[in-house]
Order: sequence, then C-alpha cells, then structure tokens
Amino acid sequence: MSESHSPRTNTRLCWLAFWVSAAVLAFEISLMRILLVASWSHFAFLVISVALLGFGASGTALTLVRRWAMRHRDETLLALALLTAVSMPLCTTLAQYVPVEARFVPSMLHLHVGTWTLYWVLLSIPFFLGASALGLALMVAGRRIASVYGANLLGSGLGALLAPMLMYPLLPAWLPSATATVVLIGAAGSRSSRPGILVTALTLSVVVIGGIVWMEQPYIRPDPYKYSAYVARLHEQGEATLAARLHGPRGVVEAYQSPALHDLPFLSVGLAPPPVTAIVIDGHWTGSVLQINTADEAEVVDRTLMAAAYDLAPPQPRVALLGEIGGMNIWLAVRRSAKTIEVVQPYPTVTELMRGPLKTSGGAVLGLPTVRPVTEQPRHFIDQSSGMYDVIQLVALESLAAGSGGVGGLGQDDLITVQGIRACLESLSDDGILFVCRGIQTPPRDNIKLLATIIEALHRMNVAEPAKHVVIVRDYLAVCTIVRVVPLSAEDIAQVRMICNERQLTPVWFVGIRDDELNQPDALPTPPDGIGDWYHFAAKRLFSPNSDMFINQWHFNIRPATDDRPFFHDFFKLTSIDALKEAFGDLWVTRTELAYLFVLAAGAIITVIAVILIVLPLVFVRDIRLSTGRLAVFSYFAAIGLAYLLLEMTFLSRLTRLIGDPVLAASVTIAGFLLFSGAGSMTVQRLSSGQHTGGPLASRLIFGLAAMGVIVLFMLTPLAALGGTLPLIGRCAVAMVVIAPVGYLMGFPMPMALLHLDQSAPTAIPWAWGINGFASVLAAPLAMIIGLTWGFLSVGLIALGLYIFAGLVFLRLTRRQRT
Amino acid sequence: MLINKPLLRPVDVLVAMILVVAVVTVIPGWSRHPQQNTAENSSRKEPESNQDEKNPPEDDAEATDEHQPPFDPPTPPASSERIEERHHMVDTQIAGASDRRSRIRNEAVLEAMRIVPRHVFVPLDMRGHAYKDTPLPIGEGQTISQPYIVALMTDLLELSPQSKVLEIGTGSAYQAAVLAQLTPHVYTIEIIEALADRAKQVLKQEAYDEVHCRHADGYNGWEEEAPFDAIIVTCASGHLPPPLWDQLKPGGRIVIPIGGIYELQRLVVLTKQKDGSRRSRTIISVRFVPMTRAESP
Repeated sequence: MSESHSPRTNTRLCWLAFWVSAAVLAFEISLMRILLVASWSHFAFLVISVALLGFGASGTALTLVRRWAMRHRDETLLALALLTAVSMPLCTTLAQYVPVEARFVPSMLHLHVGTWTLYWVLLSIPFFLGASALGLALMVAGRRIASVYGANLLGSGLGALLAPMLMYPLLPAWLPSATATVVLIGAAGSRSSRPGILVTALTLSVVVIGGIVWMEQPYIRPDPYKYSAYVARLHEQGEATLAARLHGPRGVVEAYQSPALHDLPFLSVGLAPPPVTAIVIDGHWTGSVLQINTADEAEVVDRTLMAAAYDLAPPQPRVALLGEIGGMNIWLAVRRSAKTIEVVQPYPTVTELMRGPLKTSGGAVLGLPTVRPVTEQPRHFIDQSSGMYDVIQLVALESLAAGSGGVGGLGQDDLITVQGIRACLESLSDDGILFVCRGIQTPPRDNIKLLATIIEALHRMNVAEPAKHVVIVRDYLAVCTIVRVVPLSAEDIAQVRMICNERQLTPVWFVGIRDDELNQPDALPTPPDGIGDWYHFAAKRLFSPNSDMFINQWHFNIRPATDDRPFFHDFFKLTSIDALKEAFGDLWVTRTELAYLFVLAAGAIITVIAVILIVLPLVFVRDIRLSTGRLAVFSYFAAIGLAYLLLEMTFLSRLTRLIGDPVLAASVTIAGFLLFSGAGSMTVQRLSSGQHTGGPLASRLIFGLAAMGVIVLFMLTPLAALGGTLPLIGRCAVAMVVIAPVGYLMGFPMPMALLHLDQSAPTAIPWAWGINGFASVLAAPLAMIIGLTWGFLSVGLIALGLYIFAGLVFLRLTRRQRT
Repeated sequence: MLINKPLLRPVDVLVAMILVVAVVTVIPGWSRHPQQNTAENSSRKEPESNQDEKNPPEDDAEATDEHQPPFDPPTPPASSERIEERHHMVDTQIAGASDRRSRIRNEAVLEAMRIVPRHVFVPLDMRGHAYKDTPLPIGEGQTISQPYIVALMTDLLELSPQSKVLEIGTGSAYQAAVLAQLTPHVYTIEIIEALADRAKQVLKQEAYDEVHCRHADGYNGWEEEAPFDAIIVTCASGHLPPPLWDQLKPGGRIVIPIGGIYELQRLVVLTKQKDGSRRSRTIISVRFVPMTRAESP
C-alpha cells in the first residue's frame, strides 16, 4: 500500500492531472483536425492511432523507472507537465518537416519506413509525456488515487469541449500552442513546494514556446498531392487568388479563384463553363461556385447529366438539394422553373462565405427568391421535414472528396442508408423523383451499392416490383439513378428513350429495355454474357429474387448500407484480395478503398507494439514478474479499456443521428462520458474512505452497468427518432441525459481496481495504466472494424460483454486476495 | 494498236493480286486492324456499336505520305545508357507482362519505349527506380507515370508520323519524348511553371528539338496549332475540357483519364465522329495524382 499524502499534495495532484488531461485531449482533437487539413482522412486516422500509443508506452516507461521517479516525484511531475506543453507545438512543427510520402508507400514501403517511424515518434511524444505525468500522479496519489483519476477524466471532459471552442477563433496551425498554454496555466496554479523552480521552469517553457511561434509562424503544409497544394502552387505563380478563408470546428473553408480552375462535375462534351470559384474544405475540392449572376448565364448546367433527370420531373417542381455546395445544381433547378428550392448542407461557414465574400461573384444564387438555404445535416433535415418534394437530388454523393469532418474520416454517411433513402422517398410527391448522379468506377461498385440500397428501401416500403420504379442512364462520366415512388408508365419509358437519343446518353436500366439499346454511344467493359455493361448486368441481378446471392458473390462490398452500418463508401472485401491480386498484380492495394486496410493496419501495428511494450515490464520488473495475479490484472485493465471506448463509439454513432451534427455530437458524447465518468470516479473515492469498494460490491456495480448499458443501447434508436424534433439545445440535453447513468457507472471500474492494486501490488499501477492506455487506443480501430463488418449494435454489445467479463475477473481477483 | 489490246489481261490481275497479298503479309502491322494494337482486357468483348470508333483517324494520311519527308526519330544522347534495363522493362512490363494486363504489341511504341532514356526524366534520387514497374514522384506534387501506362496511352493514340498530337500535362516530359519518337509534330502544355521550365531543359538536352513545350493552362488547349489528330491528357479530370474537343479533328481521338481526383479513374478513349458526335470506350481503371500524370493499370 502506498504512503498517504497531505491534502495540499493531493489537491496539487488533482489540479495538475485535471489541466494536463484537458490539454492532452484537446491536443488529440486538434491534431486530428491538423492532419485532416494537411493529409488524407485515412492516413490521419492511422497516424493519430499510432501517435496515441504514447499513452500506452508511458505506463511501460514508468514501470521501468518507478523507483527513480518516485524518489524525484515533485520535480519529475513538473518537468513532465512542462515538457508536455513544449512538445505540443514543437513536435507538430518538426513533424511537418519530415518528408512522409503518403502516396507511394504501398509500392515503395522500404524507402519510407524511416520517415514514417520518425513522423510517428514525433507525434507520439506529447502523448507520451502527458500520459507519463498522469501516470506518475496516479502512482504518487496512494489512497487518493480515485480522486486523481476522477480529475483526469473531468479534465479530459473539459478538453473535449475546449478543442472545438478553440477552433472558432484559431486556425488549426495555432491549436498546439493554445493547448500548450492550457498546461502552462495548470502548472502555474499548481502551488509547488518549490516556487523558485516552478517560476524558472515556467519562464523557460514560455520562452521556448514563444520562440517556436516566432521562428515558425504556425502554418500547415498540405500533402503535395492534395487539391489545396495544387491551388497553393497556382497562387505562388500568381495565377490564383485566395478570395476568402473561414474556419471553425467543421473545418477550414477556402475559396480560390483562378482562370485555371475548371472543376465542374459531370459536364458533358459541349459548352465551356464560365469562370468558377473553387470551394476547398480541409484541403479537398468540395464544390464550385459559377461566377455568374443570372440563370441565362448558366446554360452550361443544361449539359450536365443531372439535367437529364429533370426531364422526368413534374413541371415547376418543388426541389430539395441535399448536400449542395457551390450552387451549380441550384442554377439547374432555377433554369427548370422550380417553384421552391431548399438547399441543405451542413457547413455554416459555406453559407457565410456565399453570402459574404462571394456575394458578387456567384454567391448571390443563395439569395434568389425561390431559394431557401438550410444549414443542417441532410439526413436530419429529411427526417424532420414535413414538406413534400417533386425532386430530391442527393448532391452529397456527387462530391468526390473524402469525408472532411473529423469523425467522418472513415466515410460514415447517414443519408445513403436504407433508412435515409426511405425517408427521402417518403418525402416525395406521387410523380416526384429522387435522383443521384455518381461517377463511373471500374470495377463497378458504388453505383451498384447505391441501387442495392434503393431496392432495399423500396422493399421496406412494401413496393412489390422495384424494377418498375427505377431508371438508370449514363454517359461516359457518370451514372444517373432515378427513382419514383409510383411505377413508371409506358409514356415515361418512351420519354427516357427520347432523352437518351437527344442527349447522347446510354441507357442502363428501365423496364422493357432491349439488348440493342445498351452500351452505346459510351462503351464500358462488357460482362461475360456479352450483353450491355456491368451496370446493366448488376441491375438485372439486383432486381431478381436471387439478389442476395449476387451481392455475396460480387468482389466488392455492395451490401446495402444501414443506419447501424452507415459506411456507404466501404466497398472492400477481405475475401476478394486474391481476385484483386490476380486482376491488378502488386498494385492491387491502390485499386480498392484503403479505409478498411488502414484500420486493419492500425490495429495490427498497435497490437504488435502493445504486446512488446506490455511484455517488457514482465521481463524487467521483478514484482510484476513474480506476481500471481498478473494475468487477471492484464485481462481486467485491457477489458475495461476496450469496453469504455467501444461503448463510447457506439453511443457516438447513435447520438449523431439524434443531434444531427457529427462534430457537435462528438463533443457532447466525448465530454459527456468523461465528465460523468469523472463524477463516478470521485464517488469511488468517497466510497473508499468507508471501505465500500470490496469485490462483491464492485462486481455488482459492473454487472449493473452492463445491464443498464443493454437497456440504453436498445433505447438509443427510437430515442434518436423521437428527440429529433427538439431544438438543438434540447437534443444535446437529451443526449446528456442518456449518457449520464451509463457514463457515471463507467467511471467506477478503473479507480476501484487501482485502489485494489494500491493495496495489493502498487508496483503494478503504472503497468495497469499502460495496459489500459493500449487497450483504449486499440479500441478505436477495433470499433471501426466491428462496425464495418457487423454494425455498431454489435460494437456496443461486445463492449457490455467485456464489462461483464471484467466484473467476473474482479470478483476472482478480490476473492483470491481474501483467501 | 493499243486500242485493240485489253488494258489488263487476267494474268496481270492475278500477278497484281499476288503482289498486294505479299506486300500486306510481309510489311509488319499492315494486315492488322488498328484495334488489335490497343491493350485491352483479353476477356473483354467489344460491342458492335463501337465499330465506327475502331477506324483510324480520317486524316487522309496516305494522301499526304508522298509530300512528307521521311520521319527520322530523334536519338537522345542518354539512350546509350542503361539499354539493358530499358529492354528488360519493355520485355517484362509492356510487351510481355506476367499479370493480367494486356500486352502492348505495337512495335513502333515498343521501340520508342526502348529508346527514350526514362532515367534522365526522373529526379536524381529516383533514378535507381526509373525502370521499375511503378510511377515515381518528380516533385511539385507530380509524378511520372508507370512505364506501362505511358506505352498504353501512346498506343491508344494510334499515331502515324504525320499525326499532330497535343499533350496536356508535360510533367517530367517523358511522355512527350515517347510521342516524339513516333511523330515530329508534338505539342505539350504544362501548367506548373517550374515543371515546364525543367521539361524544356531536359527535352533540349536530349535533342527533342521538335517538341513544342509551353507553360499554360492545358484546359484551353493550344488554339493556334489546332486542329490535332490526337490529344493525350495526363491529368485526372471530372469532365473532358470542351476546348480540347473543339480542337480535335473529325475522326481524331482523345485519350484521357476520367474520374474524381481522389478516386480510381478510367482511361477513356473518345472519338470524334464525322458529324461531330461522340463515341467513347473505357479501357482500364487507373489512378492518377490530382491534376497530374497517370499511375498504373
């Protein structure tokens, strides 16, 4: 059992733990934002996962230097805290000078191992130092360990709220300096027993951080292959101007103007577009604003594939454009004499940009009398909408950029799910159409998955023959899928044939289509039966009773996306690797969506490093090596580390639907869990003083948590549907109420076990801290893999299963101690 | 009297026929349909609707043959270096790839690939990898294409020595050099100034004096030199730039990677019909870096 300390020391430990935790969590979120701007979303996910290994490594390091660290506890704690602060801006800046190559890694891995390792190590350092400070605080805390752990959770909760707030006034490049300041504030108020040392060290830290900021004006160097790097090059050449830049928690939105920018999706051969302003979000092209002021100047939009869909729509339609950024589709609707146009997209900064700096260069399209801009997640809008539309266009799928939001990095999309499509179809008038244009890919997968999702939605609406409700046409650029709630008539089909003829389109599907109409004038590779293209081949099979067999056999994942598994952009199948290798040789990796592979790689690397670093203390630290309960300690702390994050991610998935904004949902969920868990840990501290934390009670609490978790988990979906009508503040409040009981109980298992260790094997505390850290890091890729494969309900149930397992282990551990 | 003699006796017709057959058989490539030269997935069946597109560009090449001086392809100084590596590259990656990619059989293209010293077009630190079956970074966020893609795109252009060809996206200038081995009428445009300068330098150094290189926005094509028999675009594009279509001769063809810059793209051949209408054919999937050169099949 560790020695006890004066109340002053305990307060100081709690204070430091609170601020360091707040800064480290805010830094983690900030780093995610920085990597999304600088790099690619999947790459950012991998890097952040590996960087967080610093948490786990800290436990191992503390285990190995435990005696020395305990002898110099005050100085070490202060030094670790201040080094954490300095390392945040320093390592982020240095990492930008490491020439990591994200593009050529699959084919030239051996050339990049060194630079990648250096990049990871640099980004890990702030986490390692911060976590070491926290681990040492836990080691020093003795009987007050639960309150220090509680302070850590409460601080982390504050950090989760702080990071998005900092993103309003600060560009991402300045965030590490801001989070470093949070640590300095914590250190300054820590009432050190040696004020002289504290003042000197603080001054030194401020000078170093100030020096970094002064020497290297915070700036993010984008990956040279990103769109932002391309326009930056044009800017340097004097051929592009940055018209405006706005930023916030949802990303950095930039508007570039140049005669050399021509990005306009799905424009067929013919008319050259007018000058455009490119909207770039987090370095990705997201839309183009046509620099025009009247519908007459927008003739070019009639030459897009999207224009063909309107030929099947009622006259003067009521239009909803879900995910429109830029205005091209608004002009199209205006030219088609739309009665009303609701433009729904989630970025307030984009609306601000269009109404402000771009108002005189095309942004005025949002101010047209028939146009109503709505800043909201499209899925939330359509779920709550009571309006009926004649045209709903899923513009979001036309954008070719990867998910820009931090939590959307792996391409979760609530709109393109069976439930989302059904909500759209139910908002259509009788002769209304839902349509989406999406680029052609070879081998085909996304347009096929979209069709499979639409068919499933129609089935769930009790439509007997979905084949009669769908028209698919294409050109050489993209496929346009059009859906009606009522079957298409013979006149409609005649109209489709006429449209194809006039617009040089290639028919893919409508009832009664003939073989001789297929695959011309734009030829795609032909399937083995020699009829048409693969899209027609797939449509025929998806409309057949054996569609499940076809879905299972296709080499890509075209299973309909659902709310439980909202990964429309995940097309990868592990079982297809051999087929991909056969088709594409060594470059097969570049021929498929990398998200799944990156997550798998992250999981594998973390597991390997974790095994090495967790085994190390077993070899070098005698007390742990000889301890009889080490397997139980390992199992318990790994289980609760995994379970906490898995459950949190399940809630996040569900609460995003309720709140309707992924960034806000992430902040509310993470902060909610951490704050309520912090309160739970503080309760453990109070209970411990009365010796109420024995094995049976602790295990009962954990089993209670599992039971409550199951109830809440199954309540989340109906709650999301019911609570969706409330105003935003009300939805956030409902989310907090849902999180409160579960989060509170989730604060118990860790401090209870730490208290137990403090009495039975204090040397194992940093080891347990490290195991828990590793498990938490591993949980992120694990949750994604399980979510991608089986859905988020499974993630939640596995988490609760792990808690039950932990409860049983704890029971066994305490029984053994008693005997 | 001549008037009483038949102009052609049956035996003359027979001899003429034998001669024609002999010439057609002996001269390599004559008997082959142009389409046979393109690298296609062997399992793919060409739809009948595309037969028009299989015809070569209708620029009356034979009529101009008599008036054109014979084309003598350039001999770059560095072509005497690393010859074996280049031949190995052609034999194993292009003419005889071991995987499912289709072999390029166009001897003129293969010979061009054997001659152009790819290593001088890549940065110094990448020269060791110049003949590997991979694209390589060349700086400025750009790449030099995988050798197979360069050969495939060149082959799809179906060039003759009289063809006037426009390249959009000079990059390293390697593709332009390969084109210059097939026709002296090569025009290439690069939007990144640093790359355009470097390309001019290396083309001059390797004696490609007849390649015309300019720093400009390739989206607008090269109006002063239009029309072109063939246009090759080496940057991923969401749509075919309309000015390029306008600058293409009827019967001409454009080879362009189509698709989102963050996704897999498709290599598409678009042919302009006599009436100005479009025919297109998707060849294979490729992956291009944004606004830059092609990577691989």
